[in-house]
Amino acid sequence: MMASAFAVLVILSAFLGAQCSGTCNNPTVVSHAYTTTEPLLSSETVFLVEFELSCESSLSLSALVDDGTTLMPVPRALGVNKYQLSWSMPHKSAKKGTHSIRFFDDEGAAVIRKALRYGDDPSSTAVPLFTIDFQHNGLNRGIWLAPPFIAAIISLLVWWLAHMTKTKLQE
Amino acid sequence: LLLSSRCSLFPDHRSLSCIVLAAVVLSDRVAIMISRRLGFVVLALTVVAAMLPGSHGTAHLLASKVILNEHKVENKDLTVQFSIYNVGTSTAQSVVLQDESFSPSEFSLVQGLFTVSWERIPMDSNVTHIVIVRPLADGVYNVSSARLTYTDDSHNTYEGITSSPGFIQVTPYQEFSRRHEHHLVDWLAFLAMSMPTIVFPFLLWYKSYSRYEKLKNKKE
Repeated sequence: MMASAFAVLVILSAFLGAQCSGTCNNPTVVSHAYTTTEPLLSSETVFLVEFELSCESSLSLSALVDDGTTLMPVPRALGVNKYQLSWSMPHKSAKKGTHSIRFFDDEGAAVIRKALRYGDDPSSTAVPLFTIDFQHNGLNRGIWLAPPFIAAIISLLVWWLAHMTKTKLQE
Repeated sequence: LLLSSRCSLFPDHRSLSCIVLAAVVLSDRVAIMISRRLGFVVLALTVVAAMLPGSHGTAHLLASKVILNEHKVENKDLTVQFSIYNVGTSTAQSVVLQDESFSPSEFSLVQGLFTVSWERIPMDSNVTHIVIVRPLADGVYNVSSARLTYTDDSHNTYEGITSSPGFIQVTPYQEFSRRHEHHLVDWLAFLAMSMPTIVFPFLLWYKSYSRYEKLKNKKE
């Protein structure tokens, strides 16, 4: 009786401990990213990464993008394990290609903050909980040469050829 | 002095004045004893409390809601950016941003969450949140503010609203494309249609020209 009660207590405390400790081992992440592609539809390039975590407890996450020096807190939807990280930067600063975001829990974030304060390289200090990679294809700047310009050039060329032939005939 | 004189003249232990005098003297003596010891403790605690960050400050959040689009077009992405700044003297906790200004009948959500929360926003820092929506039809829309709630270290709850972009004009897709699309297909169609008026006279000329050149070469 006592033994079974004790066993139940141990299991319950372990469960509660897992809930309260706020750690997550090997979480599965389902993510979806969005980046600006049309310069007329946004004055800055925005990046959005929305993801869902399969953790028992809801974590407080912070994120570091590529080699950045700003640790961003990750906001969370209410009631569900859905998170959305978003930031913006001028069009010129946004680089094309694959970008990597590293996510840290409170402990990892504290280590990163300490490293950033003392100027150390944050990537060598803390191990991220998980990483999300996404692709930025750059802005769709449209056609390089405008078709009206090309049409004007062609018509000038045709006129010039005709004019040269006419003067040659008249000589 | 008055009380002590009255008490000595009338040494009746049950008289009110004697009781009051005794209480005052006793409390005075006890206070002197305690105050010396407590004084140091209180002083130490005050110094420590003053050194703790934000222990006597309040959080104050300012939030803005801005549409980043230069052109707002029907059925094209509308980028909405929320920025929250903590200009107070302590950390803001349990910050909840709730936006209900984009009704599903007028805007479709492309990416982003309308309701998000941050566990804490430290003082002198800011956070950004972005949502992408798409207006389903052209026209004028009034985009109102989003709501913000947060608490501070003293467990006071604050409610506020963000700034609002106000009235926005969403242009119809046809008008936008007329001005900003490349119209390559239209130009190729124009080229195809203008070819006959150039190509036929050129072929006629070239036929007679080549015949003349051949005759000229034969003569030489």
